[in-house]
Amino acid sequence: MRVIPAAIAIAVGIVTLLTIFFPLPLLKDLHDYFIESTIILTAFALLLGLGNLVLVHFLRIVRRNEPGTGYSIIVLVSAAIVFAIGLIFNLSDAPMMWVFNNVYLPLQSAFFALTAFFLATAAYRALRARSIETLLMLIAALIVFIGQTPLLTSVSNDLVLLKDWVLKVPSEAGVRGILLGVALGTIATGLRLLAGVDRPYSE
Amino acid sequence: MCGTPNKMESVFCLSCGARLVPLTVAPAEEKPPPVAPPIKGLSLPARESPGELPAEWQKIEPEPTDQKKDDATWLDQLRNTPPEENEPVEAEDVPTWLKSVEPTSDAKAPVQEELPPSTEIPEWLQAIRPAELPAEEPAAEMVDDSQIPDWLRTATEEKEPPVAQETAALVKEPVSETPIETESAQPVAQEPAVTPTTEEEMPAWLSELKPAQEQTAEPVPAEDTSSAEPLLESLEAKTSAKPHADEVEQPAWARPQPSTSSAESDEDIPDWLRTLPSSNEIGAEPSELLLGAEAVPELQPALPEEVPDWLASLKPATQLVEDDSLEITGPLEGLRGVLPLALAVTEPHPPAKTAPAPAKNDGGQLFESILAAPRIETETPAVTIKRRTWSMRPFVYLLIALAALVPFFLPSDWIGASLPISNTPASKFYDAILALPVNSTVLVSFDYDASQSGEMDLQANAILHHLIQRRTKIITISTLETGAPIANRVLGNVTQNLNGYAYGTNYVNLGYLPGHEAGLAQLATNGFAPNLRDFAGSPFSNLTGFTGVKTLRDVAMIVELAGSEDTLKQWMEQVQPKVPTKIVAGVSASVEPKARAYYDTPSKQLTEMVSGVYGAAQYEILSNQPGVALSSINAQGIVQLTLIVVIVLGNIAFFISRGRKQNA
Repeated sequence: MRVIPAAIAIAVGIVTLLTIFFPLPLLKDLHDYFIESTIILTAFALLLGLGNLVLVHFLRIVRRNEPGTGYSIIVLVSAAIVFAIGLIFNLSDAPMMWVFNNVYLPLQSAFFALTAFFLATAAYRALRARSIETLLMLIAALIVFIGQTPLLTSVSNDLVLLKDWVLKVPSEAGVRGILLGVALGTIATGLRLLAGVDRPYSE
Repeated sequence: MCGTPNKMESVFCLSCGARLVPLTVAPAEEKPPPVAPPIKGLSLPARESPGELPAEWQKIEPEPTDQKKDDATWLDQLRNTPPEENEPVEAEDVPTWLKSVEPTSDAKAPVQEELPPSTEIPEWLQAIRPAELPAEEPAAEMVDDSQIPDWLRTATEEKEPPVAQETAALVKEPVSETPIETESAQPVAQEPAVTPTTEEEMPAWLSELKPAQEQTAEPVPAEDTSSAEPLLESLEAKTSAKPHADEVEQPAWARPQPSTSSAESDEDIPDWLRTLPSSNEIGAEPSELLLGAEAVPELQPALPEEVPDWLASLKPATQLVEDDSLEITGPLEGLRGVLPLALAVTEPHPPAKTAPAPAKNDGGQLFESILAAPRIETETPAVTIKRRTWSMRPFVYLLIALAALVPFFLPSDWIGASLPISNTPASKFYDAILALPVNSTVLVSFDYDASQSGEMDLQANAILHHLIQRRTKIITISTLETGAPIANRVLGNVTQNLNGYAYGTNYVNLGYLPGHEAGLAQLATNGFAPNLRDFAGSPFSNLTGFTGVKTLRDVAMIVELAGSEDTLKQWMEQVQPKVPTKIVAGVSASVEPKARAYYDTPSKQLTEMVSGVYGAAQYEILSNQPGVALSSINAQGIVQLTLIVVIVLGNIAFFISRGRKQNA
């Protein structure tokens, strides 16, 4: 029984891979079918995540002894209200948009805005010249900061060029290296999955 | 009673010494004690050297057990003698203490019987027996008449029964006495066999015991006491507190029994009484005892069978072991009197007394010794009071807040006017949109979350405004779940109060595209699905303004509004290789370094790029649409300056503190 999931995963992966190299009609049809199945499963994964969320918070409410039981109640009540509104009304209708524009959006924006203060304290504590590496990082950070500050760039355009050079040469080189490494790791992981070595689906 | 279980044969408790067998007269026919099996192995008595017996034991010979069963003790024989042979003893003459121990059944006076020949001496008697019986010498020659008390002298002048008979008679009476009363019996035995003359001579204590009826018993003819004088003297010395016999008149029961003949009288004396301990063995014994023993050569040590049971019961428990318990094997071979193994093992032993605790015995000395010991100083943890340390965090927070709020109260574009515009990514982006043909279709993907809408909405508004100005058709889509309502909101704000720009004709919101990479891959490969519906639920195929748009090749430009690098990467990996359509991106300031990897390439995977509020402000200036971005750049500039100052101050403080530590 444990061989069947591995066999399915390997077969689908090989068909999809071969479609890129051999655009045969049969392979293309299979490829399209597999892609559509993936899209459908992804949509159902959202529903599964919602069910798991409700179950976790419901159990926390039932136990009563765990901290944050009140927050779980708020989560379930809010989810129920929004779910009910979405079922009754359309997503583009006014009630749903009102909830999104006046509740969800401001809360998310305010939470993200707090990161500015955290970043400021982190920069105050982390950006210290304790060693050569940290000194270089401090210098690069200050150059980028200064190059993006309108009050300072108006003084001299060289600061902007220096900033562009920092972003274009050393920063971009590192980013490209990371992207290449991620790509190679993705290829290796894919090959392991196709070979049946890794079986994350069977656990 | 301590409750310790003892053997059936035990008379006294081995642990507490209490008497277990009640004081009763032993029946005439008494079963002989069981024969203990020979002991093998462990035994208690210690010898000087293995294989060598003590001197006093060397003469001991094993005795057959059968003989013992047949022989009765001489005291039992005396006891069983009919009372008519003896002088009747009236009840009133018997003291109360003796009445209590008299047998209830056949209360017969002890009978003088011939002493059975002694075959074996009990161990406890042998212990007091001299190593060698002294030669039979007439003891009378060694007796000094001056040492004989007057009362005894007078008594000897009269016809007195032999001392042995007297003492035997006296001894016969108390059949079962406690061990403690052995000494008390001595006064009885020690009272010489003197016939009281008159009743007035009887002491008061004795007269009280004497009943109203005058006892008319004949005085027991005194035996020849010449040989017993030293014994009597010794007995007298022991009980000096007791009144002498010559001062009182002995009752009839205390009077010695007359003997028929001298030979019989000699035989009546028990052997154990004839045997006297030597001075070597009993150091405190007076010399008269030796004289007495030597004066009676015919005395023989009493045999075990001759020892009355009541007397044998007085023997300590350890000495009650049968004489025939002879070791026949082992290193203690030939020894007698060793405790049987069963007795030693099965008998409950008193608990071993443990040594008392030092604290109990010292009585505080231990405590004093501890106090007197040198004090060991231990490092006690110093009590530290946590003080509130001064932190820069609140100060930094305050600075950032002021830097973000104050510019909003200042003139709007005092910083925006100094923004560089030309030859900037924003200007290139602006030029790319300007190059779009009229009535072309542009696909705008709102791939940022609500948390990033504060930054990305500024770019989206500016770009959409410019696209609307160019009269392009706009198709909005989102690979994120929350992107569709964001797109709907932005489109509603942008197209508000616009004339001639209607939904479904000029712009449409296709909503959420599920599947992430898979959805983009399918979009890039197969285009828009036939059953695709917009955000309102209307079929996309029914929209008249977009009837010719089937695939991504039908759109003039793809504008990717990426709030994170993942969405940008998906578009770059799934769409850009398959579709020749230009892809431009408006990214967040945090995504710009990663987006540059796709932007600064010769192949131009990412055609143009606008980043952050800075790029939005530049785009607003370029499109001549001053908006929120241009006013936000003021606050952003000051906040950036504040952060630069904070970083510099932090480094200065770090160097100063490190210098102080090094100097310290």
